[in-house]
Amino acid sequence: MKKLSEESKEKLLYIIIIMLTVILLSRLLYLQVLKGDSYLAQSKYNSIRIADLQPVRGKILDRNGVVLVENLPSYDLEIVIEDIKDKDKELTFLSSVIEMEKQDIENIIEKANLPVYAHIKIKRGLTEKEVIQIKEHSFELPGITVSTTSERYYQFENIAAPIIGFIGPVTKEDLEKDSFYNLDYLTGKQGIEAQYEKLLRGEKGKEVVQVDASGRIRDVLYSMPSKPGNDIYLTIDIRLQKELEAIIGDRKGVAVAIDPNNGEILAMVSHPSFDPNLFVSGISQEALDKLYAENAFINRAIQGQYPPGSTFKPITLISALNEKIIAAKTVIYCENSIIVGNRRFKDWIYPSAFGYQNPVQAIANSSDVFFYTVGLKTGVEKIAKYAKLFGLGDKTWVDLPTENTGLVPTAQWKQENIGENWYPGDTANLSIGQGYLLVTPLQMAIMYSGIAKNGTEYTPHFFLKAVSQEGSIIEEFTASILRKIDINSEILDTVKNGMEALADKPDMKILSAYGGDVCAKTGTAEVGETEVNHWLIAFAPREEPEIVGLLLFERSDFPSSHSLAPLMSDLLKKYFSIKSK
Amino acid sequence: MRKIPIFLLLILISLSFISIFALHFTSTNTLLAKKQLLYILVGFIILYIMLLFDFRSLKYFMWTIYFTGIAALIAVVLVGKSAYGAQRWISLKIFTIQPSEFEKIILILCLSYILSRDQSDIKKFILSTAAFLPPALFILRQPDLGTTIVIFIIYFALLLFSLDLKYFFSIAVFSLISIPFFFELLKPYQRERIFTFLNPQMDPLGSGYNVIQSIIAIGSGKISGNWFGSTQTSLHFVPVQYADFIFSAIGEMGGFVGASVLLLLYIVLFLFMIKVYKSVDNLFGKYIVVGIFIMFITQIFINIGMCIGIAPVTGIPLPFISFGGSSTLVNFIAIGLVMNIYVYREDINISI
Repeated sequence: MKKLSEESKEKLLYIIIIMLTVILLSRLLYLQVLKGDSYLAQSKYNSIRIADLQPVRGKILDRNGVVLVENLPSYDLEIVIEDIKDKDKELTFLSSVIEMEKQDIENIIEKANLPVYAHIKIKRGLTEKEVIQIKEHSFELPGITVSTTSERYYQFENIAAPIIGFIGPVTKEDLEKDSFYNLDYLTGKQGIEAQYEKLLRGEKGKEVVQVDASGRIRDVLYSMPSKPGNDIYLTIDIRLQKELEAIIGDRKGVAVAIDPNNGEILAMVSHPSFDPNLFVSGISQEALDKLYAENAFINRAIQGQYPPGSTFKPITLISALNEKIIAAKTVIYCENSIIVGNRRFKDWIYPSAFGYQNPVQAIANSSDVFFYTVGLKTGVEKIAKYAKLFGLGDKTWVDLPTENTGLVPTAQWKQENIGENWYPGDTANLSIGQGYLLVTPLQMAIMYSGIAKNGTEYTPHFFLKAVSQEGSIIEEFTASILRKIDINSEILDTVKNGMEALADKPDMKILSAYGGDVCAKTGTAEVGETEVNHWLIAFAPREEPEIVGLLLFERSDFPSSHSLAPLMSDLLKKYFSIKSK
Repeated sequence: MRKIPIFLLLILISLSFISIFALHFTSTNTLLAKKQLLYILVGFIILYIMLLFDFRSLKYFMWTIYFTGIAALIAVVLVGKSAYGAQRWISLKIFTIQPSEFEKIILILCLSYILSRDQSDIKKFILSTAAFLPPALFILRQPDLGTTIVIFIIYFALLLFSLDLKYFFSIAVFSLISIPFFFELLKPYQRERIFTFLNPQMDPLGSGYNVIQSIIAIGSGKISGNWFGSTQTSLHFVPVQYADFIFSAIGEMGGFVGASVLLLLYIVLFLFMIKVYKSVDNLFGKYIVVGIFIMFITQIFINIGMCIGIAPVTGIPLPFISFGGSSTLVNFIAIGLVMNIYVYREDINISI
């Protein structure tokens, strides 16, 4: 090839100028001369405003697809203050229809402090009658509108409420932390609603509208629909959940049913609880105070911290056996009490005594003197070690936002927190699950599932799967092992033998009514001077266990922990009958 | 000193007047227009200084100039200041400078020098490419896609004007092939801007927002503009209008007439450059003029094109109009060089 001639280079420079001019001028002609009027109009009405389109929140369902939480249409009363003709007359009428003081309505308007022509929400969840009345008079009520939104509806009210939780208005922190939220958004506050907020809430849509100088929408320029949230399936079986709620009844207490093979929680009751729907429609201060006084918002199964009483004894036994303090065949003569330090520690059967007891009999009879003796020989550090090995004093990592860890005391802990030395009497108390020891019911259920499964504990959880509205699975649960505890299975067999022997006692025999063998442990934990909590934890069948059940009654009015046996029997029967359906 | 063309000074003064005027209306901050006035005054002083020496003497400082430019670009990497997601500035206490702006003129000088030497085409090609690549990569890395495009087009044009056409075509073919790879190297926001350019409605609130608002502003100017009732501009619907989107203010306030006047001023400037190109015998001088011609015309086309929605959004200032110290000074240096070449156009045989 050759070079450009000087002549063509000069031509090229002219051509570039001409091209630039032609392209730019023709585009400017098009924009300014041809389309000028339209753009002038656009700029006059400018401007573009952005509106968020709030997505529909996902549903919550039980493991069989029964809807627990859904969204229902709801009617809200809104006011555009600039459109109101005769404020006094209209508000007077309104106050008579919606049963709100006129002054209250005015206060809301005043407090709203929104830009001009904004819709101010006066009342959520109008009744149908109210909607009809307002619509009939719409000609006399310019500026007053009824808007349709969706509202969270908790199908089963109090049932499973501490697990499911509820939604409420976003806080300032939510707004700062997460750009998803707007001022009038609701967000998960407790339970599953909070834990899986991001899966449930969906994705916001955007709408770009052109509004005139006064802020009214003239044209939708661009609209991207919102993407609804995912439906969340829980491990809960609502049928079993209802049965457990019935078993607890009006008493204060906890019931848990969990599958020891994968950590799936089939039912969890914490009573008293609350009706989440109250938060949607608005709750009176009085009712709220009452619920607070009852600790209704505490999920006792994971936040309540209780002395485990005799249900702790298997840990004392396991530590003594595994540390070879005693053997499975060791027999200890149990008096009706023993003296530790200068204090007499009585057996629960006092003034009777159990006499010769081997470990299996001691678990079955729950002999306190046996465990005082063994515990004192084993020592606090070793008992604490095994308690922690089984997960006491630590979270279970269940998928709920707030969980307490309980407390496994040691000599060092007492020195640091109470400022006293650890006394043998403290060891004696610890050996029978009293004293400083505190556990959550779910920890105990997991500990017993560890015994049932010969040392394997699975992380307890409620989440089964998240399914998008198109039906594809977004996220699915896979069982995860929480701990593998290395304990000789013969030692655990000794514990199970004791638990089975307990379940075989005449007043406990009803436990086997479901049609198989059961391992069970009762507990009566003293709280205060005169009151007790009653525990009963059971798993069945002994080999290849399918279910761990736990019952706990706070300040119980049952005559003894053995009186819980018919209730636990119900739990097991319901589980096995639901399963076989 | 020989006679300088007075009409050229008048054009520069008119452009400066438009700049100050537009800045006054676009920015709520009155300091901006005052600062720009200061930059322009310094620019005119530079213009005067640029006439005090023969451009041929620059050849002796070529490597110093080149490596000063490289050093400044390295300094940006080491101690540079970031803004809008890019690191382009060096802060010198009272003011900040943008070395990539100066690099444009430095490259024009160096490439013109290399390409005008008495060597074989292949040597000139290799040398000029070697000189072009380091600053180009530094600027791309900042990232400053706009300036990278401008200096690439300068390099490309100078090859066309100085060497055998096969070099021009080989670079053209090579560039076309490497576009997909180059696209991979871009930052996500740069890619997004290109997509937005292809379809501004795709993201009317993100990077498409500026373009949509700018088009509304320009369109609403109609034929004669709205000097007083300019809603878009006076209500600040176009973000950072004082910098890269200043043309939208001129389009709205001045209308088609005002925009055409601005284009006319530029055209006169370009016609003058062609006149200088024709009248100078010296190749070094010719190439400098071509480089500066291409630099201005590329910037004007990309900047105005962006404002009217026919070019992607890249941060390229509109010569003599957009707010900015470094760019204003570089524009005056460039036009000063053209004037210098015009004044010293006759070769007086200095041995090289």
